[in-house]
Amino acid sequence: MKSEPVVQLRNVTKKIGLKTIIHPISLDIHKGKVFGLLGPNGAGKTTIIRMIVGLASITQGQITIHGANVKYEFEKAIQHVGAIVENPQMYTYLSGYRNLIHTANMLPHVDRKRIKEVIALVGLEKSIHQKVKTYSLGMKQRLGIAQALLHRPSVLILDEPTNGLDPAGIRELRDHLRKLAEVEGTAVIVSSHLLSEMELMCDEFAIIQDGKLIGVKSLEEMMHHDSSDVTIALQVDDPEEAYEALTTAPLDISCTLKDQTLTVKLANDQIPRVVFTLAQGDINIYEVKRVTQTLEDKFLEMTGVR
Amino acid sequence: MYKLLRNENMKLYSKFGTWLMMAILLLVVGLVGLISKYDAPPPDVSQWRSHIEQNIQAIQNSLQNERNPQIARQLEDQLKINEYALSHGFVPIDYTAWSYTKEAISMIPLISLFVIVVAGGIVANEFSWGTIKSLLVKPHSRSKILLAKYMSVLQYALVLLILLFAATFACKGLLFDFSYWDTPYLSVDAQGHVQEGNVILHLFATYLLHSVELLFVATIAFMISTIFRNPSLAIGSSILLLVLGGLATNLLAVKYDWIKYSLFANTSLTMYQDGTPLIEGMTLPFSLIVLGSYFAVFMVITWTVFTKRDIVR
Ligand SMILES: Nc1ncnc2c1ncn2[C@@H]1O[C@H](COP(=O)(O)OP(=O)(O)OP(=O)(O)O)[C@@H](O)[C@H]1O
Ligand SMILES: [Mg+2]
Repeated sequence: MKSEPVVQLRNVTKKIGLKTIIHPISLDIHKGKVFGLLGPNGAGKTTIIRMIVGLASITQGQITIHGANVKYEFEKAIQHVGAIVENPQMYTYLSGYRNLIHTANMLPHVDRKRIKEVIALVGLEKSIHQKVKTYSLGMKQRLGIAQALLHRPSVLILDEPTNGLDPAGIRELRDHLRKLAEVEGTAVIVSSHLLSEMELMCDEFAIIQDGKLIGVKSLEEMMHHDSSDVTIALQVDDPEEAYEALTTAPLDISCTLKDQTLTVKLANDQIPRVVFTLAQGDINIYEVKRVTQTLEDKFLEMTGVR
Repeated sequence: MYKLLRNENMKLYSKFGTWLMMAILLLVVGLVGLISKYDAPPPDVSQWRSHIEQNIQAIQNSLQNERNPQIARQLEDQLKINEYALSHGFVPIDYTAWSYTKEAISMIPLISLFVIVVAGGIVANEFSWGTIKSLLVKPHSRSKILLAKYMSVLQYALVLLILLFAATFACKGLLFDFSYWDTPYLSVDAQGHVQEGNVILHLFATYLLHSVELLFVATIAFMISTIFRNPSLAIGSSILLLVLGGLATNLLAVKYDWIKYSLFANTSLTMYQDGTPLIEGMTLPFSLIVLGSYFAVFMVITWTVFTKRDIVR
């Protein structure tokens, strides 16, 4: 059973001039879930985020956050939101701390203690009193996340949050977002074209291409939507002979032999029979490996790049 | 709202340029003060009574063959003030440290220039830094955020005016002396009686009256800054307007009557005090209406553009 969605998009359309940048899109984003907006460059991810946070007008359709319409009750809707749109931008001539004060002054109920808390959270204690001018991209990104988390928003929106973070930073962010979603019930929206990390971060994805919503899938759906069919890679002493044996055997499988690797596509319950057939043919088997299709493969398949 | 204003001020006063402009203003006050100390020393204060007596004599002479009733009236008022000052022993402002403050009204355009720089950057910089995005995704309406910025600009203008006011007084006082600083400001009311006023209040009110042009060029810079989101364009075009606006208006006023509807024909409200409007038939209420209309139009354009437009890269 699902709760009432926290963020709702209903037939949201964006036109600039005569050009339709976003074709009608409807999405539901739920409490405690990390929701990914996935798409290649120029797909319209940032445009969708801009509309959610009120930076861009909505040509048609409506967006609500906790039931408040972004267009008509902006202040009510946005008070729940912490957001970074594209790169986080700071006042570089102010210190990191002053930047946080600036943000805190615009938000309800943020005290000094909370400011200290978020500084510790993003690990900027050492450099917080330096001017932002001296920060690296990753440090700015961390400061941006601190700013977005300051008022404990129930909706966190991050556009390309991993941009500029080192692997350790990405891991930290990922763990933190997961924790926010699971422990505090925050609805998190992230956008990215880097699928490999989205895979580890998100519960649900909307795949966007050319301003159109191609599909919304949960992670499991994405990974196992035809789990009856699997691909295995076999490492044997004589691949050619093995290929012979398998293709002539009465099995409902498809084999390919490429670069001395034998790949077989088959139903899951056929695997033992394949092994048996090979053993019967006196072929030495060193490894039977299930080849998982990565999200990246799926994604590229869906968006038709491959 | 107060916190929004505080944010704007924090950003403004953390910038080097903001303080640099104040420093330049102080420097100019100091230099001009020093130069005039040697170049044009002030009248000897011990001689003020005889100067006033001479002045009374001169006024009486010119009154005899003055036919313009308006000018005659002004001369009579001046006469009354002089006599009142003599009988009560009030040293005129020109003999005190306030004289420099009074003359420094001519430095207000310099303040206009500095305020343009601030007004032209305050909105456009947020766009060029990209910080506008985080500024606008906060639970405050866009109009309030813009208002905080506008107020911050006006506040800076006020700070500069007060700085000029205080610095000129201090400069003159230090270079000469502060004596008679509390001399009253004398004026003649409608009934023809001489009134004593507070010199500080009077001078500052005069500053404000001379700051109408400042207010408008700052507002225009702010508007251009909001529309074009480009600080250099806003600052450049407003400075051009500041330099050429009044000049062009004065030139055209000779030939064309319609120029009285232009902005810069109406910004010098003191012309009504002096009784010499730019174009005959112009009155104070007329100017106030024209100025009010321009102001309203600028405000509506600025706020509409800022609240309606998308924030793009
Ligand atoms: N102001 C604008 N005028 C015209 N076209 C625009 C405007 N803003 C965005 N677009 C177009 O809309 C499309 C979507 O842009 P958007 O920035 O949302 O993509 P994105 O998915 O965020 O891409 P990226 O991964 O590169 O960040 C692009 O094709 C872009 O050219
Ligand atoms: Mg983008």
